[in-house]
Amino acid sequence: MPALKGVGLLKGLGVTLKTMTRPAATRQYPHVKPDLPARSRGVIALIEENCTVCMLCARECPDWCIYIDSHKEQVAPKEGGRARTRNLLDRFAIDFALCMYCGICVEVCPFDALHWSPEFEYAEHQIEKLTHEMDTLRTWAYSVPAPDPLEEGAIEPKEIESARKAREAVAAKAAAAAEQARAAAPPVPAPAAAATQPAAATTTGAAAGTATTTPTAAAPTPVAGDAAPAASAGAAGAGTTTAAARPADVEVEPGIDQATYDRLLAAGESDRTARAKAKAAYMRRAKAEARAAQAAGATEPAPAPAAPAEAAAPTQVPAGEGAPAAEPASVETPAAATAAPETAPPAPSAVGTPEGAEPAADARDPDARSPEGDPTASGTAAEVVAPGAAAAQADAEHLEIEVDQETYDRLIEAGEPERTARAKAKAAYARKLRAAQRDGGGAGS
Amino acid sequence: MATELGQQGGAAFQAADGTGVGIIVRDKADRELHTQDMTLNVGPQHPATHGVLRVLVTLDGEMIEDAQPVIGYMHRSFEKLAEYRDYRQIIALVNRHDWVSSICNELGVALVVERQMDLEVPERATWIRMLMAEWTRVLNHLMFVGSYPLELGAITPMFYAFREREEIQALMEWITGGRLHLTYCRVGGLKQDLPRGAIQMSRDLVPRMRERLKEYEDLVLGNEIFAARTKGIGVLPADVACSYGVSGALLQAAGVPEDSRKTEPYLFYDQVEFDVPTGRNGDSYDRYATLLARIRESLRIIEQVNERIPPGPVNVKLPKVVRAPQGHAYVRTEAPLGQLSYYMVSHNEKTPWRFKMRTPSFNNVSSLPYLLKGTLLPDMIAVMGSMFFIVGDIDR
Amino acid sequence: MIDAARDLLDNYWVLMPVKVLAVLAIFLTFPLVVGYMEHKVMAHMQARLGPMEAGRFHGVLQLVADGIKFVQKESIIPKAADKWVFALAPAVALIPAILVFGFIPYGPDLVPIRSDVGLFVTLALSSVSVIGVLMAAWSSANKYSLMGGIRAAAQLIAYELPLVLAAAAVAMQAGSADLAVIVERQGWWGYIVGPLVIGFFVYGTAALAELTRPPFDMPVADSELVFGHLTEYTGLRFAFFLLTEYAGIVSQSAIAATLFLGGWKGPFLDGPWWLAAKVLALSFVVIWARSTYPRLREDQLQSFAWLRLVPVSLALLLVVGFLKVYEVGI
Ligand code: SF4
Ligand code: SF4
Repeated sequence: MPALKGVGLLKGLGVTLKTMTRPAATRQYPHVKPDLPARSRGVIALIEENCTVCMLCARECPDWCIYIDSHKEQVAPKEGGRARTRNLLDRFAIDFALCMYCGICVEVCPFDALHWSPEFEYAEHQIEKLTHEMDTLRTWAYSVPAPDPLEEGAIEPKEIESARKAREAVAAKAAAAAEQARAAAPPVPAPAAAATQPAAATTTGAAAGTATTTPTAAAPTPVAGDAAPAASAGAAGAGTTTAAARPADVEVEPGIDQATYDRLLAAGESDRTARAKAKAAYMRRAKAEARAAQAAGATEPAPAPAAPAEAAAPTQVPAGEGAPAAEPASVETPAAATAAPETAPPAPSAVGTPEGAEPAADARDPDARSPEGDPTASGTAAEVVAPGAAAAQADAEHLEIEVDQETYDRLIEAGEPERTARAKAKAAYARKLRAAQRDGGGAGS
Repeated sequence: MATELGQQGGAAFQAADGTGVGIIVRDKADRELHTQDMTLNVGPQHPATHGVLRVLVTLDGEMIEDAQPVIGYMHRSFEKLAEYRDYRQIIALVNRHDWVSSICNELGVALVVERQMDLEVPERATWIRMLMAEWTRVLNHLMFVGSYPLELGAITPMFYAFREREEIQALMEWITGGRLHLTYCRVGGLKQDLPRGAIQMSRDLVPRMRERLKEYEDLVLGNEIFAARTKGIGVLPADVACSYGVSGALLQAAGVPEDSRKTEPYLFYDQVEFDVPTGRNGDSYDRYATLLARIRESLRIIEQVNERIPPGPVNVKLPKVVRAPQGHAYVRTEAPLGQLSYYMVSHNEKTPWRFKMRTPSFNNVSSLPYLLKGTLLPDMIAVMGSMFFIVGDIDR
Repeated sequence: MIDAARDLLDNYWVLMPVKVLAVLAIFLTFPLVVGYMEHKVMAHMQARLGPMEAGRFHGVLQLVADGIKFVQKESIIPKAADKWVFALAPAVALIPAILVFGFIPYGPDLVPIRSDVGLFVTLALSSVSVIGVLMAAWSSANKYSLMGGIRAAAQLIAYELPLVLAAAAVAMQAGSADLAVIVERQGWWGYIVGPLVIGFFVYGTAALAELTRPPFDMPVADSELVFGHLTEYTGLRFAFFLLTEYAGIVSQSAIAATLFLGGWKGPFLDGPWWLAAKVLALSFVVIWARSTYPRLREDQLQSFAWLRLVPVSLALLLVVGFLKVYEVGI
């Protein structure tokens, strides 16, 4: 046996004593929440509006823990078209007791309906309770963070690249417009400038499509910030002229439903969940109100907490996922037709509603996505755009997309939901425009 | 039959002759009084087996006469499951046989499929894979660097190891979103590129880990009690190790510089500089020292990889459904615990026709009966802890 | 007033309960303090924080909470166990641990039970606990428990010798086996200056072993023997064993402080507080060793006792005797 009382023993004592003087490496979990990175695979959030019931996720899931029910719905034929069927989601549930958090479902979803949220506090006492239905999955979508930017040397995913280009183009145009406006009336105070900006945008040919689809993108650019008007200014604009109905960035606070929040907190929900749910509740109500307002009269300015763009916050996310670069890119594909309206509620001007103001609002509300004050919140929102939006936007670079009013009215009459109608109308418009372009008409900018 | 040493009722140790008889005691009438051997089930639920390995030991006092590992309590049928899973799903699956070195497992699968498909993986992806694999190796080794002293009664190194692991985990989680089952490799590359700043973070981590390694040397390796417990215990000579197919730190501690990264380089291991540490005696102490040395070597590799990641794509464009052409392929890699090989036979379908895995822990643990015979019960812990196995990796 | 109180205390039937209550109070507070200290010190040495919730401030009431938890737990007696022995074992371990506190001189006049052979009574009492351990081990009808118990007994026998020899050296130096007298004869710096410093280390090591504390915790080596003799115990009985362990740390620290470190004496203002401070300091070392060292193997432990500690302490006895006879030194 080697000498027992040796240097080694003393050294060991030294190591432990030294550690004692240093601060602890642990964190006091329930009091201090972990700061989880954007890619954290905490829980799967579903944006049901984006889901087309393609069943890819359920099929690719290694342990088949995604349950989807749907029914088919007849879609009235378009002029000269055939009647088509469409899948509507009845049930979407994930059994988190079985889920192995591999992320395959999120990866394969072609329509960016599934996302990872770092939310992790959803343990249950009974295993059945771990099967979460659509509405719960939807709530988690509010805590989906913006993706991290990629390391230097990485290849930028296509949709991000095009989004960036479009954003730059818009920024340049807006800058020019603002310049022009300033030149026209140099000492105009900010709100006035703001009011003129959207109008100028139309006159200078900032495509309608661009304007509708880029609020998120345009908002954070310095120029747009300069032009960023008070919500009322934008809303007023919305009420009066169709073109000005789409100011790039109306500050609409999505807010939370205090009553729901308090109730949930009292019910023992975690702060984060309560807030997310309260927000969802608020959104639902606000949206209903907005719809009512819309029905009441298109010339009414939107109420301050305008209807929520339900998809806006979460749709920013998938940009980094390297997801469906190609598919939704063209507004002509049916996929995009369904996806696009969500990602960028389009062309409100055409229908004369103030909805165009919405997406920017929710999208840039840091609270929506990072209740714990995630530093990426407001900062990176600027960097990312929903792929849908990005795609439409990229398209808008050479196509100015409007809503085909005729088609829209017809579809509405046929009882289509407003959203679908608008998307289809838009698609119809794009088709026409493309055709015209092919025939030699120069519609591109 | 007994070798009588003591007179009149004295006790004698008898050479093991297979009858399992230990001390022979004679009473006044010179009749043998047999002491009974005790059969002890160590495991499947025993703190020292970290997992559900069961070792059936026959004890004579505290002397082990025989030890048989009984495995299979955690059999999850990986090979069969893999026949019904497409390649991406298999990658998610193999994360889980050795759950502390997931990247190294998925890397093997990705490599074997790529080999079968004759796929060229982008350089950037290969370097990043190496980066991730080496960090995973450090993670895995840290786990054992902490747990082995714990089994010998020193509680603290475990906490230190987890403190270190947590810092690396933060990097891994940032990059992949997962903590244990990273699922980051894909056939043809990676799931996605690194987030901005990840390489810098990896750069910063290396010197910090080096510094921390010193603490283990002071606290554990230099400790006389630790040395007394492990030196000369569980000696596994090189030839026995080879005959059992032992690999990894165990084999290197026995003095055999075998490491697939050197002898049969995959990825770009032939482009980086590192050494294969070897021990001299093949005892538990050497195994532990080898483990620490391996961490140092991994840090060396990481340091080089950090600077060499070129710009470019991290994935090749593949069809939605990946099919490997007809034929078979074999890949051997150096997983943290030893040689990990995958062999697959493909019939040009979505799933492999046969998927065979050779996991290091299985072979390493099979040398237990040899090592344990004739040791004391407390040494059994010292030996088993230094086998560095993961039960999931044994049973699969 | 004070005189009246003193008169009152002179009455045996008044003094006795006061003493009993005082000893019980010490027994119920110090081990808890040391237990809490162990939680916290070990945690910080391991880069953790330890208990932080119970009692609001840094988990000060953690052990109280633990106690309440133990009370609520079901007390399970294994079917094959020897029921009476099994049930009695915690008490056999606990009671001597309490009694030891009665013999320790807490201050100039604060010696609950004064005895001419106080030193040996305390040492004898503190080793009675092992009988409780053996009873627990045997009656549990569990192989791991049995092995743990046998190890504990072997360890006790081995380390009792150096322990007593080191203590004997002190007794020889002081010329008395009365603990109070031993303290009186020391300067405030104790016997730590001089040849007896070796005795201090021998005593400390042996006491650690006697307490089955790391690095001498083979009897409860969790990775080998699950939890030794405690494997089958639950609830309150388990809590009693734990209490015994912490009480053991305190009493051994107190004896060591009394023998070698000058007991209640200090550089200024002698009194029980000095003893308390020394006890806590020694307990800290005990905890420190636990969070640093792996455990020895049983045979290494035995050879360490017989081949190192016993010869050293015998030599010490010789040296001290020599110095005493020729009146050199201290
Ligand atoms: S993460 Fe994996 S296991 Fe979980 S639902 Fe998605 S595909 Fe299925
Ligand atoms: S893959 Fe996406 S779109 Fe398809 S069913 Fe699943 S969630 Fe819906």
